[in-house]
Amino acid sequence: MDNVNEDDDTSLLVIIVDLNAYSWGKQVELAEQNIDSTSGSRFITLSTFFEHLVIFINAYLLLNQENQIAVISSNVGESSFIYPSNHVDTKDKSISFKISQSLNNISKHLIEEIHLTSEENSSSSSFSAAMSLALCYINRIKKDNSTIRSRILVFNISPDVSTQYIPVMNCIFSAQKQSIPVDSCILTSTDSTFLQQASHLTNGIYLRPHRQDHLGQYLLSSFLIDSYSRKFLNVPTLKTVDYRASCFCHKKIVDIGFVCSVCLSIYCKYSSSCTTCGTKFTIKFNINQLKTSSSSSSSQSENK
Amino acid sequence: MKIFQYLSSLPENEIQDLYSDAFTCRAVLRSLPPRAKQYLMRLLVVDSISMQSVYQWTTQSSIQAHKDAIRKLLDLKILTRVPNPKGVVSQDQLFLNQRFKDNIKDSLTDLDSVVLKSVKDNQSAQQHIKPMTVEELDKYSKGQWEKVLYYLSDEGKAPPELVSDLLLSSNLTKKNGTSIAITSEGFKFMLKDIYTQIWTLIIVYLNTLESRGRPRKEALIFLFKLSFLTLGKSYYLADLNPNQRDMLFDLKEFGLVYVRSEKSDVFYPTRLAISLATGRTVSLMNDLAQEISTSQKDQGYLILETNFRIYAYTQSSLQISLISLFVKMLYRLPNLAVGILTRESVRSALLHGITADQIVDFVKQNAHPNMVISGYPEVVFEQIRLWESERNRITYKKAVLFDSFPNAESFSKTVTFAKDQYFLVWFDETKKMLVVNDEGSEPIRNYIKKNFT
Repeated sequence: MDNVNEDDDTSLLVIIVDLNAYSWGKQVELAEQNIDSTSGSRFITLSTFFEHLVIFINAYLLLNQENQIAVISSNVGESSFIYPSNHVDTKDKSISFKISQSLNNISKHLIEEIHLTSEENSSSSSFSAAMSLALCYINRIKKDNSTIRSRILVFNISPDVSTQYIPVMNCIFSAQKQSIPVDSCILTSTDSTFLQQASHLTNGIYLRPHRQDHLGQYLLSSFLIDSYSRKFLNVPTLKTVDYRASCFCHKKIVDIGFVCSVCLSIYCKYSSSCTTCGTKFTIKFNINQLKTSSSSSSSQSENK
Repeated sequence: MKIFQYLSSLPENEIQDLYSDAFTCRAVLRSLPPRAKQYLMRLLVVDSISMQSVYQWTTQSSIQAHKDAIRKLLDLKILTRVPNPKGVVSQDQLFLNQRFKDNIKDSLTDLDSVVLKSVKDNQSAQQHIKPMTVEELDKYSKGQWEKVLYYLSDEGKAPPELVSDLLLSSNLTKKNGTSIAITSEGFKFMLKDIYTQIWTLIIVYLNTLESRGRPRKEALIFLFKLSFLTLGKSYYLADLNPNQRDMLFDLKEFGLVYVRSEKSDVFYPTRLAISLATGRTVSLMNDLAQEISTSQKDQGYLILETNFRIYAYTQSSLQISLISLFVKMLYRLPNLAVGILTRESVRSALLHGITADQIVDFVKQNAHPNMVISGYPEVVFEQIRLWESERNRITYKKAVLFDSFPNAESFSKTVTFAKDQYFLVWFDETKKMLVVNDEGSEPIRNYIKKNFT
């Protein structure tokens, strides 16, 4: 108790909110379908989600006077800061008020922006870009305040895009190196491979709430725990993690693939040289033979 | 943590009253240890929970801390424990204080709660008053608090009535005839961190408020509210009620708030006030604490030589007046004060109730790096302890005197018995008198009864 540093839970929380208009649109359908079923997963719409989020932010800021927060939106093709931002000039208001205001603004513009983007590249948000923004921001804050404990909380709704595999993994590894936990809250019915790996590698919390209408409670009881308190409180963790990697050549998630012996790049098809490090492979073998032998031996992932 | 001890000591109904104020609830929540905060947040959305379930929240390695956290919440009457009717302890239900719960819930959904409206920048510009910067406020609060400490150590200065009253009633100083002198408690107080110092005085202040017929509940709530204001902003005095305004001017003496003059219509909270409720927020307090005790821990400023001379490399009159409690000051240069430890100077400190160990610890804590390298002058420390023991040449012990033994034989036998049992303190053969220590009185009495009656 005497040691001042010991009980310090001051933290910096960067929230990445997935604001993919298409995914949220699909969510509305799901929410309507599931509205009267009492069991199983229920879904919430964007506006309800914002309400839960603002309560969570309020609770987080309430816990410690010096807690800092940043909110980043991960949108189709772009990521930007929601808070802190230089657009809002309501000086005298509380932080949570500012955030909720900008969130409301965003949800209005979201529909307008849909017309600007074409259907093809809009299925998923640029998660890796948002993640990089978050890591850079944390880095900047840490320069001024080196003792602050930082973490990232990701709200995910759009499916993983395998083209983003390499940048996302790079982000995860740099978060791991700086020991920044990446917490993930999945709002769809399917797990996200990227975020499972991110949370697992960085000792973060991975949770897919079964009843999203109680999201606020999930947030308060699990995601509010700062990285200091995680040392002594039990937190929900994953039992099984999908570790499958995606190949470097076609960005497909592969169960079995070829691994470069020099740089460990993964390929789904055999090629005579590694495109990443340029190593030429001299060994020749019959690919058909390999396929039959490997499928009979095991079906497990090769690069676990 | 001082504030918790204080709150826990309040009577049940008073603390319940306090929890009806939303900002008090928030401040209490903030100042709890991290673990307790998390527990509270989890309990917000449930009606009651069994001890068994709460037990599962913690990891096995930190069960003691878990129990402490629950204990603390129970002490603060935030949680109530209702025993299981069947007597199964693990099934005891925990309830969150209803008022506390409602208030915290409200503040979670309340987006726009402001304690007091701050003065807009352009408004203060209209009145042609330059607003205070954060640095100016820091400097001011530091100066004010140094003054309080200065009153404590310097007998010559006459502090404002409020401060001197507080120092007296908190037992940090005592009246010595007409002058006021520092006590042993006061000396220890000087060595504590600034946060503990402020709370010590604030609690005494709250208690004196009660005796002056003003409710301390209101004062506490006001203090908690202050901690939610923003540093560097000014607030209207007109938004406060008369009691709060009175208190504000009291708090000004400690440097918790800044008011330009009696006529001024705005006030500024300082860093001290804002971090008062959450004293543990390190980064805020550290700068200030470090400045006040400029070099107290990181870079000492005292060099004590074996010839009893003491050199203090400091400019702070506070530190010099602190040393002069036990040192005879000889001369003072711009960045250096030189003094000598004499029997008289140390004895005057001892007479104030400061102990030799306190002096030695003080010198060691503030030792200049060079002195640490070359080693402390143990001979001086030894001499200070000798001067102390000079004052304690007589020690009192309880003892029992036996006399008028019937004959020499019974006397000598009793003496041998007392010697064997290590009870004997003193005896005289001719007068037949025997003194034994306190433990020996009963056995000796029994021995005499058994053998010689």
